[in-house]
Amino acid sequence: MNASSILLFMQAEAADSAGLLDQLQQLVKGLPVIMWPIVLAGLGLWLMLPRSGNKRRTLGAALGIIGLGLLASEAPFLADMTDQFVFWILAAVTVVAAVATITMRSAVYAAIWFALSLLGTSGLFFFQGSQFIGVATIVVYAGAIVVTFLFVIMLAQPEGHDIYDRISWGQGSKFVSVLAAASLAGLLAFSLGAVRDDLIENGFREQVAKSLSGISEDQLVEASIDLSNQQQPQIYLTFRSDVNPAQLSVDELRAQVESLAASRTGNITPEILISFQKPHQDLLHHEHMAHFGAQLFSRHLVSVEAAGALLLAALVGAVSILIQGREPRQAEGGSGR
Amino acid sequence: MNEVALLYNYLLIGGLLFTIGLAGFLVRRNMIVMFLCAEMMLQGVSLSFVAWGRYHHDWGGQMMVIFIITVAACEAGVALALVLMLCRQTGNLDISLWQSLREEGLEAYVDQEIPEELIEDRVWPKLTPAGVEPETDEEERLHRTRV
Repeated sequence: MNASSILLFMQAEAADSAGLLDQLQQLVKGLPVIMWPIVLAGLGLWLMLPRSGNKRRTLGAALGIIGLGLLASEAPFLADMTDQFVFWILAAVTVVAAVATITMRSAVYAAIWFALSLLGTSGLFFFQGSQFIGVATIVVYAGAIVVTFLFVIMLAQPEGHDIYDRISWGQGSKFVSVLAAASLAGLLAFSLGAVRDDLIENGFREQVAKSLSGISEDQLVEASIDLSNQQQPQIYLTFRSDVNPAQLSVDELRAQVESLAASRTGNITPEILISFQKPHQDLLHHEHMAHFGAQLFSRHLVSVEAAGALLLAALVGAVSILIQGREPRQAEGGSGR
Repeated sequence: MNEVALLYNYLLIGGLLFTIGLAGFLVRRNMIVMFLCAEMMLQGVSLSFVAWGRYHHDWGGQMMVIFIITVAACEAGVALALVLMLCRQTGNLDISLWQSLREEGLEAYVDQEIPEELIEDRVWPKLTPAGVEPETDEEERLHRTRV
């Protein structure tokens, strides 16, 4: 599969229909809206990658920021405005630092920008209540792995930058890699859009909460419709932990919810799944992190032991590689090391 | 609706991190920076795992991230040992020097134009001008605080 065979294939296809121009127009109209921000961001990224020739980085940066801003506008808003603000700041730090990592001309600067990107992801982990992962990212990733990288750069490349850092390699590698990355990002964003259209129903949760007697709006945590399975649409209802299951009359509940969802589900009777938030699922519960340890060492015990063995094997392997590389020089020179 | 919106946003950021790492891995020539981009891909995947774990109220997402961090640390150790070995052979961290490992039938990539070093990249040490005796500190000379 190389470029010429793809071109031949496309030409054969085009010969069948009315004309290449019409086909192209149809193709452009058929693309989903989310492609254009991705295309713009990809173009910006391509301009920013290390290249021989004149500097076009600022133009690339501007295009990239515009593209990412358009992409962010496609995403749905979070409930609280402070939540949204904090999330946008953390996300902006993460993505900008990630782009800076791959476009820096000096390897040391790239490592430090990567550490900043790790701080951004750590903040994102804290934002949704996984405090242990946030701390582990900082301590292990930013604190150990990035520092090891910097040590290796110090040993191998004391200036911190070299000729091969300033250019990319391969014929047209920048274009192909940005094309691959942009297509992947576009596909991911497109599939997310399909999920959003099916699951988010404006005001459905409020409607259901109003129709149920004895349940306030806060106590119905989530109500969403899942239409991904055509034969059996499902409705998820999640109540808070202080709701008494005996108080809910299930038949009334089912009738109300089905009537409210009738416009979305059509003729098929949806399956209604009710769940209650247990105390340890409540993220603000004071025993949140204790259950982390319990889970890790009860349900995933074998994996933990295996990970320990893996760490030992990696350590032994790394040391043996270095020792083997050193031995011939010791035999030659005899300099006591 | 807030749960789904949060999930959507997190998956978007995780996907962006992954694809940026992918682009960087394919483009850069410095072995260390390539490995940094691989770590960035792992970080994007971790973000997606935690997001899904929170959405389904399942601990499995965070458990998976713990093991991802463990494996990334092992991988970093072994990969950096290998990189140091390769660097000893050639003298620098350029991966295009190891093109003998490429596929059969492909031509080797040869640098067409090598860009000039930018002025801001040049770092020259500060030397005392010749003929001038540098200032010495007797105390410093006798008991060096740093080598």
